[in-house]
Amino acid sequence: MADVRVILELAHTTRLERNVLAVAAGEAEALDSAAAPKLETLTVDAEFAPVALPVVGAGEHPDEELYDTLAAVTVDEALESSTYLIRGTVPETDLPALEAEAGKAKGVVGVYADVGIEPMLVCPGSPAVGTDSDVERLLCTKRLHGCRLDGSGVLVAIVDTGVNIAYLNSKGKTPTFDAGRSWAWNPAAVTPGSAPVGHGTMCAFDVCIAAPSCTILDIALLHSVSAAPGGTIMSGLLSDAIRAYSHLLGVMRAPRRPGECRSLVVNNSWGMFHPSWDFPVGHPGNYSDNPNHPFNRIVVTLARAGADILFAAGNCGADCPDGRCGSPPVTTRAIYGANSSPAVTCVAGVDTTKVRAGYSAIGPGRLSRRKPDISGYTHFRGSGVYPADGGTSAATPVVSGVVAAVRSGRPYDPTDSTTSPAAIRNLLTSTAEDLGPTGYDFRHGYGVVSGCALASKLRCVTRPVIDLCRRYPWLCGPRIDICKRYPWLCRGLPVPPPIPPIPPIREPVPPIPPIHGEGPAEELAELQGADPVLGMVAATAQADDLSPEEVAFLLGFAQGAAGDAVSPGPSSGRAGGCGCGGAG
Amino acid sequence: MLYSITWEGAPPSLDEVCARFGFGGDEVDREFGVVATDPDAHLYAVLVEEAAVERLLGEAPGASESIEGPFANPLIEPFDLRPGGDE
Repeated sequence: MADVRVILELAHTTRLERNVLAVAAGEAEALDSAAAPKLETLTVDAEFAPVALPVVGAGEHPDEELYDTLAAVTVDEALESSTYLIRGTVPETDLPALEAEAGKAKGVVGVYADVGIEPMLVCPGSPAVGTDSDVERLLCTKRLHGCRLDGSGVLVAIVDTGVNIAYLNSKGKTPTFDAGRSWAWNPAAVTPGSAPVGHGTMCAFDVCIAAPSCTILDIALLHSVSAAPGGTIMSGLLSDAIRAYSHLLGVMRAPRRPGECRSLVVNNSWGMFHPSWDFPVGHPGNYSDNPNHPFNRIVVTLARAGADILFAAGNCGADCPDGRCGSPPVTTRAIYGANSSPAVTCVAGVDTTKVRAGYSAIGPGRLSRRKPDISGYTHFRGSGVYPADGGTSAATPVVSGVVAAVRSGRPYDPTDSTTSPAAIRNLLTSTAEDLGPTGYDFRHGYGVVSGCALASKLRCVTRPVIDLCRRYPWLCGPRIDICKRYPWLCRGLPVPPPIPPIPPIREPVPPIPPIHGEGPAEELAELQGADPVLGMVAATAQADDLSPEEVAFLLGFAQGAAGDAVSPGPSSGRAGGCGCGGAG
Repeated sequence: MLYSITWEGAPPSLDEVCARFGFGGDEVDREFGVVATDPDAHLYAVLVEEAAVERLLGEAPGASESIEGPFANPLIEPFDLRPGGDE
């Protein structure tokens, strides 16, 4: 026998009024049980504190046809004239008895349904929720970029319908484009980087939210196949994807120039929509559930070569599946084939309020049960290609961009297991913001990607940049220009390799006593003996009003000792350490 | 149709594959060629007409150890949004 949730409206009593005031003052959190009426059929929710409901009365009704409806009511917020709401449950069969009982009970004004409410899920056709600026804020991109975690030195392959670089530039996104390592299913039909503006361009835009300095490879795989049964404007065959992945394998395995790193992020916002497009499960040639399928094998091979591969979970979520999920739609176990491979990161979608998109496919996956792995932001106004950058199509490049940003600081090194694709996936999932039930769940994976938590985990410290020339213009004169000699002190440029100090020929000048006590300032002063210009800086720093933090910062620059921390200034860390990925 | 072949040694050319398995030049997809799917396991993908493979297996049943398939070659599409039928 099911229980029905109800709201009871009660007339004012002194006890109820005191209860409400006590809750407001923080002296109570729940219902004073003595304040509730005794009704046999009702189980009162004692945890629910009573809520005062102001009396709303009818005001004067103006004669005009158009009038302000709110101006036509009066509201009395005085507690003594308010009514009070409590809640409880009643067995469904006893509901008429409760209504009868309440009708006779003193002080009960009414009984109302307490219906379940849920957040409004975005669906195909829903308006955008937020903008790409909101996604930037949610991902802490300022903090990431301040630490040079911005995609520099990282290749991002957009395996999709093709990218239009001129359009991206017109929208303020200026990644490097590598035409030489791009690929098209038919070079005679599409020129990489100059594809018609569409889905692939949206994906590239969304990658650039977190990784504006990445290098885009346009892998134009999906194309018009109007003759294929069920085919739509843009689609392709899985065998085309095998060829595309073979090309990427070649990119990954090509010899590198000295200092060039080999980080490759592969974004896949596509897949199979319905099992009827495949051989049946159990058939040896099946794709969806068969790790032995050639495409599933080449995906694993590329991941083994060190590529970070991300696949969208798909848009067959139970709440509002895409029209291509069939009629009736298949929404259970709807993450097929490579999209559910253990070698990839499978991405679900949440809107910018962190509510799961109703169309985002729900796990478990076919090849690997724990899919999706993580959620990314979607359904926001961004690229302008569509009214909303939507679908798990947009969620995936948002996460790919974060991966590319991380790779700027942690490039793939085949000799270092902490840089493997699995390690990066683990870094991503372990720092994700948990959504839904505690821990992993099949709707959100481990939660929504968190650039902020990643920045903390990677010890990304954004330090202020001191413009010495603006502050101490006499240090930047024509005779001695400290910025010319030590440009990293002024512009945060990478520090050159440390040069061993030359022993002083003459007796060093005694250091000026530090104003801020012992510590970094004293250390800086010691540099005077080794370098007269740094000595001037030290003297100026001490004679002026530099805080100990600023002096420590200056010292860090001067010594080029950034340690393990990823910082915006000169760094001996990994950030910006590789020169790979350029168009040339 | 999509098939997987096992080929020990250096990666084969399409002509070498055709010669070993007895495929006619017009029975294979030359544009697709021979694609290494798992080089460590000596696995390659080819697109061949199903009749050619059936003929091969009829004449040399032992060849089934070197060629596997056919595998599904389903349609794939971008995960853009299209309203469902109910909407």
